[in-house]
Amino acid sequence: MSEAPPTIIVVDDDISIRESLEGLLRSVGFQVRLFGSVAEFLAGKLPEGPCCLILDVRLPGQSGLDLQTELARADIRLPIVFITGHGDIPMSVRAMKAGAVEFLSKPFREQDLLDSLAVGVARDRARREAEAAAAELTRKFEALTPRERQVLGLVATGRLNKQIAGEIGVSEITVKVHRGQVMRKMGARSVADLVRMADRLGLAPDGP
Amino acid sequence: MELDGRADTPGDDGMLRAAADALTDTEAELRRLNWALAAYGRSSSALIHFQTLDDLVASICGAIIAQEEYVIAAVGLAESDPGKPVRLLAGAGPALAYLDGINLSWDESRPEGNGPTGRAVRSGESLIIRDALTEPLFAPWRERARPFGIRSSVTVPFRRDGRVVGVILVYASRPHAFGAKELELFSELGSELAFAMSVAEDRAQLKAAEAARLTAEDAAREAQAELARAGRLLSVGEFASSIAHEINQPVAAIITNGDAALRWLARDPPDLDEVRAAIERMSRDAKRASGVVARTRGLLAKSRTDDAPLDVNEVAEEVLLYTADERRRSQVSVSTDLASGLPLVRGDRIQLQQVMLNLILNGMDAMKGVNDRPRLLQVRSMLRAEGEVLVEVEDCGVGLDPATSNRLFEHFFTTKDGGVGLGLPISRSIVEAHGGRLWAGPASAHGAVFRFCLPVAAFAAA
Ligand SMILES: Nc1ncnc2c1ncn2[C@@H]1O[C@H](COP(=O)(O)OP(=O)(O)O)[C@@H](O)[C@H]1O
Ligand SMILES: [Mg+2]
Repeated sequence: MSEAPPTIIVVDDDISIRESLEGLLRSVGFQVRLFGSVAEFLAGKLPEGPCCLILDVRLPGQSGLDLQTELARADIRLPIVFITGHGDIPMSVRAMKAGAVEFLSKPFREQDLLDSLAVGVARDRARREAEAAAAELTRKFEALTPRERQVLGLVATGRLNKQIAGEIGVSEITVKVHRGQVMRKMGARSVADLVRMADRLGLAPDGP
Repeated sequence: MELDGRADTPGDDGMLRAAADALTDTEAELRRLNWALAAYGRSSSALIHFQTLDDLVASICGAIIAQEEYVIAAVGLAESDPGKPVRLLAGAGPALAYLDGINLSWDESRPEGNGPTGRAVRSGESLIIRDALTEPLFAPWRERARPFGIRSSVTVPFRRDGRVVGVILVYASRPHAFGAKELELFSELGSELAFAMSVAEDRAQLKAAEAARLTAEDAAREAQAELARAGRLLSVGEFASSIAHEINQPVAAIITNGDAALRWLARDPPDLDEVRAAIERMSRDAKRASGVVARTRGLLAKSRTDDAPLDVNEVAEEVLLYTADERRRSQVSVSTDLASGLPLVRGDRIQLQQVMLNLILNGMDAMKGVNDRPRLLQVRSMLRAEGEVLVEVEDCGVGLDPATSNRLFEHFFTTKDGGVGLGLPISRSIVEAHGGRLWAGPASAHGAVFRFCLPVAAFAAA
């Protein structure tokens, strides 16, 4: 997890809006990136750390809603706060249904904007952490020996050491040793912890 | 056929035989002449109706070989470069295969260029092979021609713009088949062919020009539509919402800049550079907003901006055209009664279009809920005695509500859900700026009539 402040990406064709947002967002400690069109935004690179998108609904060329659809299709899960200068009620419904964080009419209250950005950034951070944790878990799992993986799988299904020993044809002691190794390598604090990890890895118990 | 007098005339055998010979000759001559006329006639109709040059030539050749003794009729085209072969365009006849694989040329330096075709093209004169078996000129082709039963031929050149461009080739199954009459017929067909060639070329050019014109027209239509979109009339609703947006943007920015400035100021220590930057943006955006207001005022100004002679009928028709799509969608029909020969008024075309547009859209709005009678909008123009042109827009909609009818022309008075309430006051101020008046009244049965009058140009203050 980076220590750098979250980044807010602003896509709005109106320079007054862009620059005013930049001033406000920097004053509360965000990093800010400004884009005048969807095309410009798509040409750039996404920031490393947690971020949130402020998107104008009506843009020349590709609209904000189009971008939302496109990002979803490309599985880029950026939280989006929409802003609009028109009373776009039907659009707001569509945007919210498609998972937008918030839909604000210009001029918006500063607190409404900052609150929704906080929600967006938190969402993004949680997603990133979950993804990082999942990656870490996979990495640890891949470091196990085949025998250890087998033991982990059986532990996950709730088998006792004795049962496992019988099933894979080794002594109960050996099972205990393997299990201790698995716990250590996976960094599990308890058997319950280990079962949760197995679950997240998709080693679903295939029966009671 | 008998020739009266001759057959009855007494005389010796010789005379009789001579007379009989003359008779057969004449009969043959007449038959040939009939054929010639038929061939020419058929070709002429082909000449008028032909689709492609190839078809035409094929049908002419077909007409020629209708005469039984002709075994081939063909047309070859000669290019200006003698090195290029004479290309057969089409041909017909039972012996046509004779021409398969024969090189026709008019190149003097080659043996095949010195046959009838080559000579005819070079000299521009028709060339007759009277007897294929004895004519020295035909020697190179004699053996080849024999199995086809070819005994005589004629090659008739034809010209375009003075240059020989092709030949008509006709072969016959008997010697001495071609005389002056035939030559004349074929030459005539030749010049018709040359003419048809130029027609075909003209047509091709015309077609290309037509295609180019269509493309250009498409482009023009596109450009026109673009222009209409760009400079199009806006309904008051659209106009108001676009102005609202234009003002809202900088106002929203000003508010955000203000929030930002306060936050920079609240820091410890305050970041005055940031505060200054925010305030500079605020002042820029405030100017932008006030610019929008100024421009809007200009648009709605009481003074008319343009002063040109105008035909109100034209203005009405333009707006009717402009609203045609909208009317079709709302199932509103229009009847117009526009007086002809109306004197011109003076003013700003766009502004008067704006007035018409407001009245027409209002009339359509008023008929939205009408389902028990045809939604009819009537637009009339007429000359009033006082040197004024009067325009009326009548609908058969809900009609004026007596409770509010005195407020129609107030700013922001509206009874509609998405209404703005600026259409009528703006229209009235435009008409008044043109020296006219705008007022409303009930229609005869259902609905409302909006009328405005404008002074005719001669009476209007310049
Ligand atoms: N043809 C009409 N028939 C009945 N009422 C009308 C007609 N035209 C205008 N009005 C009334 O006048 C009001 C003001 O019209 P207008 O100034 O054009 O604003 P808007 O169309 O936005 O309401 C309308 O809301 C309607 O109540
Ligand atoms: Mg109106």
